[in-house]
Amino acid sequence: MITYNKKSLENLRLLKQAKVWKEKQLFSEPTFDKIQGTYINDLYTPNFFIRVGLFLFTSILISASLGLITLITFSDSNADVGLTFRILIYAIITGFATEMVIKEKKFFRAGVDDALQYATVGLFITAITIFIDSLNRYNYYDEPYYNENDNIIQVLAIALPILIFFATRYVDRLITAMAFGVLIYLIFDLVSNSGPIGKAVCPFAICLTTFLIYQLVKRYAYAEKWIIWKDNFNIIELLCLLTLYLSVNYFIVRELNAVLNNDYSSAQIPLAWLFYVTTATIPLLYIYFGVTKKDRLQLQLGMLLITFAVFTFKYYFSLGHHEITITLAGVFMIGVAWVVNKLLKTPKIGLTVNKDDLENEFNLSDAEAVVIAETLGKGSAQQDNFEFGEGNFGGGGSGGRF
Amino acid sequence: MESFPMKTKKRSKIMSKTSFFSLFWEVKTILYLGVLLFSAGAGLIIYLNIDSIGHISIISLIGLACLACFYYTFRKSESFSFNEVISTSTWNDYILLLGCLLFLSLETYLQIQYTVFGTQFGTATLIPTLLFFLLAYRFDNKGVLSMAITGLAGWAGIAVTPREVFDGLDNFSDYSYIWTALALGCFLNSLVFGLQRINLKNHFAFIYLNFALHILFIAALAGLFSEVNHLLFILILFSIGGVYYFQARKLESYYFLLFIMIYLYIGITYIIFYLMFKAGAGLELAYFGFFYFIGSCALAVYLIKNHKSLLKI
Repeated sequence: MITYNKKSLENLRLLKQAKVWKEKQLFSEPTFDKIQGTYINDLYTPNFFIRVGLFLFTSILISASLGLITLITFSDSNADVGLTFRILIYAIITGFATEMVIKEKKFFRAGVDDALQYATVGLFITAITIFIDSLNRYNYYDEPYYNENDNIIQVLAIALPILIFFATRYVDRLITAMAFGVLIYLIFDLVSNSGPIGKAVCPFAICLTTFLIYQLVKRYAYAEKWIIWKDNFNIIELLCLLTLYLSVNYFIVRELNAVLNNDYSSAQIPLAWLFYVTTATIPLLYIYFGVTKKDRLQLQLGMLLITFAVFTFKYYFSLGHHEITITLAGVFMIGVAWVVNKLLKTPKIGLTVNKDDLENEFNLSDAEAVVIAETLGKGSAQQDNFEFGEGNFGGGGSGGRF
Repeated sequence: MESFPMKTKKRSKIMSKTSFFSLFWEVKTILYLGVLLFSAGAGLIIYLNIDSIGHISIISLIGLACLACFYYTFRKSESFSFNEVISTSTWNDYILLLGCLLFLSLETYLQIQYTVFGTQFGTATLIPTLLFFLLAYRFDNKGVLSMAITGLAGWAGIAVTPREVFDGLDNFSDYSYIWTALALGCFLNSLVFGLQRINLKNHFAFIYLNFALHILFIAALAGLFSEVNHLLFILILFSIGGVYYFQARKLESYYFLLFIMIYLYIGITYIIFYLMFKAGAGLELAYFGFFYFIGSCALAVYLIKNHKSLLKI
């Protein structure tokens, strides 16, 4: 199912959490050593800057290699079908190289594997795009029928399962985000092109879809079984919340509506009051749920989206004086920061502004917690016969330094 | 799972210890953005209402706000130390920053309205620069230090620019910028060296070196591209690379290592292709290019992969 060693990825997750706990002195040193011994991480994940360097040079390497192959083998006798096969072969080459590099060198988010993965996915999708496009252009009956929109839909519909497959296989966050984007675009395109009713319900359709995906992810995705895809689900969660808001934001709905109707200036939309309400309240709801459910993602996204809500209202109902708005916003924000700071000097209702409490956060429904708590229980039961393993947490030099 | 008696106990222990949800970064971010928006908005209001408010009241208003910020910081902050000072208050850094930004607005205002410094733009840049350096060291503030170094670079740029540029004459050579930048980079490097001798705020070294790294390398590459003297600038490029390689090893900095490699790679690639073009290569150049990129990138990947032995960590 996935390219990486599943056990290693699981261990990586557990060790990450265990390290946080150790820093907060929930573990003693020997307990942590024991966890390191039990869950060995053999993956190579370097420092961020090293990853950037490796990614950069590997990307140039891939392009130069494929360029050289093209230069040697290219003849201009073959047309579109030949090009499709050529790119497909390149995709297979890079895909094979990805598997080799990951299996042999144990790279994980190390730049080299990222570059190869993106090359593979990109080439696959390019091949499909060219293939579908040539099919549509030179179709069987030689009719001059070519619909740009149909073409895009066909390409994306085939690209979606491929993206999902690679996102799962490579445990990659960017590919996951792309798959999500393609899905949302497909829904948007299909619904909004199905007559006037489709256009009208389009915001709600997308809103509902993202809400359902969000609920599914929240409810089922963080089980122990799916532990290695936790980052991917985090990304989906973020994108769901973001898309959910944007789909019912007044600015987006009004302007997209104008674009769909080919209007030059956007007119007032039906049900405007509803969109005013959603534009204003959803960010506040995110902040509220973020604080009460202790969900940092929702909280920060809510804070960000308030800016967008203010922009939306300023855009249509501006009194002109931007400088006063900016100054007042500044004063307001300093004020909010000051009040929150004052209120939470002594922690209240489980909230604090203390920096030391930052790393402590997790809820115990998390799969990591269950597994580690299990280990802890075992550890205290058989205190004397555990082995001090040679843990190499963090792989090759993932230090906090730069 | 229920068979482990320790589990529930541990769990409740973990629960009780970790039930707080910290809004530390959120509050900090709001505060920072608030400070930025407020100073920008205040500047805009003044700019737009310059006719109706009156200059003296504006100047006194900004001046007072600026003084209030500095006064607060002086009163509330920890005493000076040669080493790193960990601030106990979240506020001091931001109020100092606000004070510095207001000082800049005040100075700009005075210059535009009353041309206090006349055409001596150098002095106008140097005053906030010196003030920011002093404040950065007094209050151990890296943000203000970065502003000070930026000011210094700006001053260096103005100081060497011949007067003729402002007078619109055309006898001005571009290369003076390159030499200035190189001199500035060397100055920053020697400053770090000197300050480390007396152990004054050693944790500032990275900020100085970071500025100097980019200034030096970009200047050397600009010199290389401007085709003044290829050999000289190749030598300069490599000596900068060498110096920073030792710095990177000393600081165990992956960041420096990455940028040394990227800048050197650009320089070497440029010079090789320049020479190839000069020799009049045609289609061979395409083949050579692909082989060069494959070989060089494979080498670069190999070197970065083995960065641990490269940095001798």
